[in-house]
Amino acid sequence: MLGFYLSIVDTEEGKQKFTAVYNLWNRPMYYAALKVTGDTGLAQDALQEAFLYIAKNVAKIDDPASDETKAYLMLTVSSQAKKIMSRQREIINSDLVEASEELVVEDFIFEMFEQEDLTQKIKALPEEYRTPLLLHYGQGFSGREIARMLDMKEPAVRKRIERAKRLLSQLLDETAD
Amino acid sequence: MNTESKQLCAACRQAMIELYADTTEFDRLPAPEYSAEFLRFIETLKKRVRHNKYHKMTKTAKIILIAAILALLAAVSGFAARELRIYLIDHGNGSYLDVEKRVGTLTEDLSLGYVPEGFELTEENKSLHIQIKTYANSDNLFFVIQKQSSYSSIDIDSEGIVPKRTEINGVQYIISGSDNSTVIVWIPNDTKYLYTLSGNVEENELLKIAIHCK
Repeated sequence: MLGFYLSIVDTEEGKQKFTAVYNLWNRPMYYAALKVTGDTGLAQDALQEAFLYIAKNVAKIDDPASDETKAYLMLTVSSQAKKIMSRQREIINSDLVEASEELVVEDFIFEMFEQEDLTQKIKALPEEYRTPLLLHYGQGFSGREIARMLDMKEPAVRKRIERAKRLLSQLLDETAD
Repeated sequence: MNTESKQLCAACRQAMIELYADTTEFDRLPAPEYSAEFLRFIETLKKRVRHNKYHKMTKTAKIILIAAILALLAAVSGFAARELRIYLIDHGNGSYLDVEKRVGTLTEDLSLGYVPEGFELTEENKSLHIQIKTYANSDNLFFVIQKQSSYSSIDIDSEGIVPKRTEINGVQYIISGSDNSTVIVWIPNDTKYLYTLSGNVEENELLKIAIHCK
């Protein structure tokens, strides 16, 4: 019933935004995917997956031409390309089995640091931890949405985000010392 | 509950831009030659993409709305295995008639003759067939009113819990819900529009809002 109501909420805004995004960025996205896959067919597959996610989440895009949107698109297509390559190599995305001593890292501790410092440390994180962190905190995706995008299980996404925050706080502490 | 750090969110957005926004290495490359299948896929997406304003609804509001709709369905179904149908019009002779399927366009704006004190319009969405308004107050109380010009009949032949029906000024209001939320559905006598009102406001207040809808 809810799906029926949602299906008839239909505006031109979404279509125009999606078309603008596609026209502006499909080329660099394609080449970013090709850089990962090395194959034109797989690159198009990655591009297709990426645009499907973008279409489903078009409301998250404010300005199709902004650097922030561009970065989100490039991250999305890179993630999809890597996911396809993982499938090609039959690499199983193993859920992180980490010791139960994992504690939640409270977000308020990051308020103490300068944004520039935080930014550089985030860039230094390993990609497997950095990507879920960026998608969650940078773009507002939920754990469930990220799990679908990265072909992971939701608990694994949450663990990676917590692990990313823990690594981040360690990097920041090292600099502070 | 961990409140997200604004500093961390801002730093993540900046990190994304610094890592991914520079595509100068690709700028001089030729335009890709996409397969016909890929181009057809993109054209289909362009036509079907929706700017879904529900996405901007707060998580709490979404959960309440979904819970309210599920509560309505559960209330009219009980544990019956038969297919459930809700009759929205009772012609008073003990028999229930389907409302005929209607396809039309919204020609009149949704207007509320009564809004409880302290509530403000927080979100509005309108298309050819449906208009939705969300109101909320500072105490996390909210209601969503929906007016649609295209609808199919829903008819019920239920066992167990039956939704309440009340008739006011010749209009039947079907009321259902759980402890935390209420849903009211009605079709005014001219049958041009179907209204759905849901929220965590007191049932009497919701009914008052419903009665004064235009």
